[in-house]
Amino acid sequence: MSTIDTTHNNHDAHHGQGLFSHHDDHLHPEPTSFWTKYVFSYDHKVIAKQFLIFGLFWGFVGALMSVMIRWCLAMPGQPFPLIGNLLFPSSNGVIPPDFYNALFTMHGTIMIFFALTPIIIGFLGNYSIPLMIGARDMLFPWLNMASFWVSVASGALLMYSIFVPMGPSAVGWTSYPTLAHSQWSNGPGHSLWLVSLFLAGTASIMGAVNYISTIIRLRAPGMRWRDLPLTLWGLFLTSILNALFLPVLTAGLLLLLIDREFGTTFFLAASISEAGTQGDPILYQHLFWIFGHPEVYIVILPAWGLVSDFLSFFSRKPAFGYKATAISMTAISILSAVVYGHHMFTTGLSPLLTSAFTTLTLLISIPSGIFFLNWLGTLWRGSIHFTVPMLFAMGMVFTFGLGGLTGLHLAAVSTNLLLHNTYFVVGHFHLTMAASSLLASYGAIYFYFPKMYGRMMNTRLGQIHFWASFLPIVYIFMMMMVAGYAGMHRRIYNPYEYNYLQHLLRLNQYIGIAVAIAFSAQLVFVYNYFVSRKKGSVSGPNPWYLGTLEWTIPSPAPYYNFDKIPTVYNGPHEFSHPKVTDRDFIRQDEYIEGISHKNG
Amino acid sequence: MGEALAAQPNKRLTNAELGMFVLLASFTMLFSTLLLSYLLIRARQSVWPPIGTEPLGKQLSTLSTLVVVLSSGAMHFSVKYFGEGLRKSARHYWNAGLALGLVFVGLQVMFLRQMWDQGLRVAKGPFASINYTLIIVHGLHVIVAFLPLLWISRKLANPSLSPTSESPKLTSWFWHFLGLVWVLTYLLLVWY
Repeated sequence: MSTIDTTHNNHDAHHGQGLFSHHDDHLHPEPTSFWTKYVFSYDHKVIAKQFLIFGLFWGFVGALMSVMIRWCLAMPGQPFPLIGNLLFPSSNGVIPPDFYNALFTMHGTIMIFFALTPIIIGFLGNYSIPLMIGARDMLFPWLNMASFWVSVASGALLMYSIFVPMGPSAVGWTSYPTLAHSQWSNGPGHSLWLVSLFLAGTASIMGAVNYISTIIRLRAPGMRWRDLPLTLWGLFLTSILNALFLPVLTAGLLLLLIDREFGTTFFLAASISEAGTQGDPILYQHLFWIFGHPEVYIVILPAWGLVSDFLSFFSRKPAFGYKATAISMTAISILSAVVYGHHMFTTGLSPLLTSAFTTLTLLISIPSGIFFLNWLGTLWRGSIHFTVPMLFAMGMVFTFGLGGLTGLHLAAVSTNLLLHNTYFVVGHFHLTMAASSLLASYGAIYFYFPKMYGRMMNTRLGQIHFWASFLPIVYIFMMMMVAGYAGMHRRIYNPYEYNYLQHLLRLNQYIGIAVAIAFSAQLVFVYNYFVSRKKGSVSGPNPWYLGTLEWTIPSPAPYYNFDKIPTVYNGPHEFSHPKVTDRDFIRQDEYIEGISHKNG
Repeated sequence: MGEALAAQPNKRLTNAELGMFVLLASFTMLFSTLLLSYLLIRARQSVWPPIGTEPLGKQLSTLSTLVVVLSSGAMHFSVKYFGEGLRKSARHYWNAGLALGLVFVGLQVMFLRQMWDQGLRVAKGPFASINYTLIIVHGLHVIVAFLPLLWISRKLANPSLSPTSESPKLTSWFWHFLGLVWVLTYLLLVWY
């Protein structure tokens, strides 16, 4: 690749030799062997694909577990079809209660830490950041590679924990003591779970260090903060939250592990501690939720950013209120650090604290309302193109809107106390952080597929995938909220043993049918993904007709990304400008007198 | 909001320094959480240390604190001399800092032994549990930090190490950080 120009056009002449030399540090040699190209690769694009495959694999495992959970609730006491006898021979194919507990624990853990995080942060961040800011790679490529392989080690440990004596962790993804203590949760399964999450957290922090540093340092000349695509705002803020709050969880997990393995009682009350010593189970909840609430935003911020971009891209309009959206996302990130108490209203927090946490949580609805309004403003009178990424983006707007509104009931202490630990909570957070992030993740995959492989995914199959996922998802989680409102507990093997819940059997069966449809729809996606890699129509460099930097280079993107580091003169959402008549978008790296800024 | 890179010719931190800064922010949250947990666990006890339990010894812990501060100082001068091109002095100070670090670990082991001899056992109540945990978790970080310290020590003996290399400075930052964490831990555990 001798044609790569590392002098960055004429910028050094403008700004002094060496000012931008940091870009060149990241042009590692082209990998030649199989190992350096596909396994231990430094290339952010390859690492992104690795995270994607990793996340999709675990997503499949987690989704299969959700099917099994719903089977228990829809067909209590019935053998699980097809693989039931293979997995549970001692109970004639019926999922036993203890394994049910393991199922919902592992489903939550896997979906949050091993499916959504690798896809919406690992894949999207790795793929988009260098390409969108005009860089040749991440600032620390080795750290990037290490981040992925630590994730793999973490996943391998979690997988191993499923097969150890006495089974995997079965205490819920929140891992609350007292239940999570070794006296009540025997066997190595939960300790392995703790170590696995410790490693997953380490991997995420490594990624966060890279994302933050890369966005600050490797933005192309001329790219101001206000020229960043909103996707990158989301990823930047997410990385800050990851870097600051994952260590809090790590400390909590560490103390819990020491409790389990060395007999300490940090989290055990004196009344149940064998040594009679005074610990505090509520302390763990504080540590968990100081991380746990920002975690909601950790997985949703990139989705918000991405959708903000998609709505502009496919409405062929500038993003309405770009600055307000970026400021709102920043405000929410800050607020996310001080609202965690609403997860603990039932623990006996003082009325002063509950009032404070209620108020702070409700405050989040202000910036959320601002950027939601901005989304609608972007769509308003736009020339909307219902591409597959746009469908997923609009689906996300809908599910997030539903999830956000129902969050008000959980923010207010008066209603929270009634709904705590019911399926209402499950429905709410699935709509907010799970369905929204999932839909945005799919949007990202359809969007970047042509840049990754040089081919388009099949549109018709994409539309089928969307509708067969979106409609059941909305139904499933709305009905979960109905079940929760009727009093159905969230972690219950057979609710129908209680008279007052027996009438919910039919509802749970309908939810089960919807889950089966949604699960099947993912097979359409898998088929589309693998077939389109070989047989999809050739995309060309800019199939979506956009101006952001990644669409100025060939598809698939070469290993060095940009043969010349671009200069940025325009924002990311310059559409339908009256002075440009031959097309409806302006590239970020083209200078047009009277439109572009001159920072480049 | 900051301006574009083109408008930021005077960068205060290099790329590697920025990365290390973010990493140290993460570590700060880890140790802050552990120290905050200490305060909360302690706040739940009516008597601290429990009746019949001796407070932690002051002599050994004070000595190890002085040693870690001296070690940090040696690292500081090593990096200073390295920046001035005085490679030999840099190497001597680095190795002195490394040796003091080893002495620190030795003193911490003696400190733990002293706690053990006092009858403190990890599982015998929050006083012993949290003290052992904080000292050992910090100590494990120190031991891991020896890997880059030894690596830099070897590099400093090699003339091919670039005079602009940032490795000594960044490693020393992490070492200073661990020293600072220990000083805070010491003040809380022994004097508060």
